[in-house]
Amino acid sequence: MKLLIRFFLSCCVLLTVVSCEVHLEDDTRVLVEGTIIDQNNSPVSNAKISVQTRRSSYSEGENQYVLGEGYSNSDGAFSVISLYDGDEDFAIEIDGGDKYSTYVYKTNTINYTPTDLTFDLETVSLKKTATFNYNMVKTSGESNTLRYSFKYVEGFCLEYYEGATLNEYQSSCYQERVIGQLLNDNNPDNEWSFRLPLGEVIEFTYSINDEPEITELITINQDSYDFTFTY
Amino acid sequence: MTLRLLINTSLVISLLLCASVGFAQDNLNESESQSESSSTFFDSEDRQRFFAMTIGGHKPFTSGDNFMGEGLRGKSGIDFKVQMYVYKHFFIGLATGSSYFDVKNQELLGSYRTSRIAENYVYLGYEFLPAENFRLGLNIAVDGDLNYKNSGFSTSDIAEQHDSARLNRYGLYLHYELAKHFMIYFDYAYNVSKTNIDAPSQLEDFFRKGKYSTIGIGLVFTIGSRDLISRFLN
Repeated sequence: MKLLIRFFLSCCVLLTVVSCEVHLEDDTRVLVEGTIIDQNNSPVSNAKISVQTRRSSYSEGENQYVLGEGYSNSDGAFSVISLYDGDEDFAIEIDGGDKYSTYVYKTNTINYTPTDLTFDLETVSLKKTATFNYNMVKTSGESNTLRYSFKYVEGFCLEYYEGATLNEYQSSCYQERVIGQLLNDNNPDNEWSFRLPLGEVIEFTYSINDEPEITELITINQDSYDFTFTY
Repeated sequence: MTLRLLINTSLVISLLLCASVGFAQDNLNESESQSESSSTFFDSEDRQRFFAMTIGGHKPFTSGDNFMGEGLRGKSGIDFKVQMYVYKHFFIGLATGSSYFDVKNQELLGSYRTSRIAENYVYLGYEFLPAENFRLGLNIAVDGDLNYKNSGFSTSDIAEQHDSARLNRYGLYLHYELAKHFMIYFDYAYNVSKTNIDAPSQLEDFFRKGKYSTIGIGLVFTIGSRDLISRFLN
């Protein structure tokens, strides 16, 4: 009887291992094409295009799978051959690297297959980005506090399409973000950085010892902008 | 029932059949073979066999302006075949095997690193006897299918994707007899894979056909000394 149970358990384990495999869509290839330009209408070369899907498995949970990858050429044009998959969040990501913003095209491919198996993104516009490095330093005496925030436009654009129609509700393109913190004796200093489109203005608001807020505008006019604030 | 299952089942049945029938005829054949008989390029009673089983390996080589030629690089492969001599040196065979490839250009195929093709086919052919101890065979696959298992995705080792295809195969082999029922073989085959891949119209030509050749080596075991029809006629 024990032998029978062991045999049964072994079969169950084997079946579990076999069922862990993730099967992507068979016998299909798609083409992803388009042209990438920046805000000055200049072509963006060497941008990385990756076609992605998400799948769940028993052993690894939900994972992102890259189905196809390629790069834009010197004219900014790209043409990537990729596998295909039915997914609610089938995504095509265009990553301009450190110098440009990121664009993501998303759609639901469970109910939608593009015409002629081709995703023609036409012209994708990326923005040149800069890195804003800030450093908040406490130089005054004890018990002083600083409450601050940065309001800026992020260097990221996601467009969600339902078929050929843009769903603006689920899209978020170059949205405003706010980050902030309270600094005090326990946490006197902070150093951080974020990326945003070059030429954008950051709204820096601060308040020392809960006094009325002061707002300063910082125009980002260089690739790497260092900002230090002492209180 | 898929061709793969059919071939695998048939291979097992063939092995059982050739073991029972072939050995049963051997005593009779041994006495027959003691009599003098003529041997030509096309025929030899002495060298007639009933079943031949081959097991071996091969190296695949992709070629052409297609998804295999441009996107895959052959690594290795294994073969297992059973062929039955129906009348004299005409034979029919069942084959199963696999060829292994690395993806050399992911931008042309998709983001996977390896491809394994499972090959199953039925073939017909004729065997010539060009010299003592040598057998030269020509064969053609009459029905075959291929299953490409594509794996090696960057984010996970458990993901896989499959492509399917029909197989056209043209083969040539040379057997060298080490003993009466034991040989080594060298073979060459030209394979054309007609895929079922759905692709955008501008890529259809690229994915419609894949071409690869194989050069193989292995061992041959034969059983019996009379072809199938002769067993019923005599």
